Amino acid sequence: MNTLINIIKENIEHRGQMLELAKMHQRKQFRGSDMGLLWMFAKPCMYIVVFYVAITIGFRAAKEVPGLECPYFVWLTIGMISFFYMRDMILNGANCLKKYAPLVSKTNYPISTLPTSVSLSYLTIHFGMLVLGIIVCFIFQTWPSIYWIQTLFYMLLMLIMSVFWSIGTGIISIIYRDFYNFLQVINQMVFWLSAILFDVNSLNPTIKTVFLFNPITYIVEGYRNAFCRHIWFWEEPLKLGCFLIVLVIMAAVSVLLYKKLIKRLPDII
Amino acid sequence: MSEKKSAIKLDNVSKRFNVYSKNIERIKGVMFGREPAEIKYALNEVSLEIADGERVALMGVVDSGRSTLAKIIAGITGPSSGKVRVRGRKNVMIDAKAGMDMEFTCRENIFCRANAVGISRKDIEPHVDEILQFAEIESFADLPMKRAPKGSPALVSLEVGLNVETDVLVIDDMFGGGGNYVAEKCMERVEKYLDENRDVTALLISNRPKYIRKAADRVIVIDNGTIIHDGDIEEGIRIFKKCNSRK
Repeated sequence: MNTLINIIKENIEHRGQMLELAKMHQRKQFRGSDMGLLWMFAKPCMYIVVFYVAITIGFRAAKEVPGLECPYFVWLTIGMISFFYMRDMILNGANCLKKYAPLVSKTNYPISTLPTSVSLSYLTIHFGMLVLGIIVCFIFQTWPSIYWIQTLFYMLLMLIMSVFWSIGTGIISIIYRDFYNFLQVINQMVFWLSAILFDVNSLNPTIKTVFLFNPITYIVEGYRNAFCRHIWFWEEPLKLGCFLIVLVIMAAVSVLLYKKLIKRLPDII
Repeated sequence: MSEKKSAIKLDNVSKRFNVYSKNIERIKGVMFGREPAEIKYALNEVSLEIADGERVALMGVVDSGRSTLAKIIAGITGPSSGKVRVRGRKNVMIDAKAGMDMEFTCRENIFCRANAVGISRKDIEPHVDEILQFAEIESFADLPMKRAPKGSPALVSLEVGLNVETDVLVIDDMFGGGGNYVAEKCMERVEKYLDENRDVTALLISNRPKYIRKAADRVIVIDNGTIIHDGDIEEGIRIFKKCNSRK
């Protein structure tokens, strides 16, 4: 618990440094490219369009997702927007300490702020994607409702999860070099194992229970509940509870790793 | 030592590195304390004391433990055993490029470096022109740093770093590379800084006799993780040269 408090304290104390690094990290993604920022959005947009075309035209599987207050394309877009952030964070979070190795091993930089900086930097792109998502909603005549506001709640959960993921996997990637390669492989599978293209509620109860413990599915479904289903997060306490269990386990493992290895990282990295 | 309080004090400090034969053994060692195949001591029972305002040069050949000692004093890494006490705000300059990105412009890199050493954008902003001028890169200001002369990161880092409020300065004279001109310019700047800030304690990591004679009050020579000389400058330089020729 003390370690967690120290991490939080260090993040608050060095928030200026943390935010500045987040801005720099974001700029690094598109440095040296005239249309850099545009590329950050072009790739995800292309993904969404390709999947929409493939599913609705290619597979002729235009979905009728039950309980929707919006068209299928909006449902797909909103889900994928939240997924893209988490997909980016799976790899970039795991690489956050290695990427800033000179800061870890050659300066007195507050190391615990690095995962937060990297998580925040991708959140800016996520905001941009969310604006695009809202434009898609308007194009498909899905108008704002009070439920949309809970996107902020899911975004906060997503950010917290991302920070703990980055702390834990960032450390593991340093001590076990193959771990990052392993994540690159499973990153491809995560898309298919997170109910992005299909409705998790339509699955059989056993598989649905398994999906309850996939935190990515919870966040994706949360965004969709806000935009497309008009369900408040407190109306599904079981799903929230399962997500929180996974989050607490992830946080505990990450904090334990941090406690055990943080002082040795400059020697190992 | 004098009546002055000690700014840096090390008591029997050792630093060991565990060497594992396989990656999986290393993980077991790091996570569960599995015994390593070999133990190497970078520092072995090192004790030293540096008084407030004293300027000490640290000499040592490659693999002597010099960098490890500097990192322990700087607080970047901890000792395996022994006690380390450093009083006051530390300013560490042992890697010029830490925090920088060679794709960013020279101007942006000033802010990157400032952030790495804990100076806010607002605080460094008024010094940007003088930093560019010191690094002689005014005409490269808005070009990627990779296009600027080789020694520019060292000069930028030094000038940015000297804006940090400091009680204990740990600086490596080789921290940027960039040839003799850059090294001499850095040395002169550090000397000027130390002259202007008499109360700053400095650990100057350097193997350059010319610089040491000018800037240091005392020399520590380290070899194989042990201090083999602590005191007179000329004697220290002589001992270092002997170690260097042996290697």
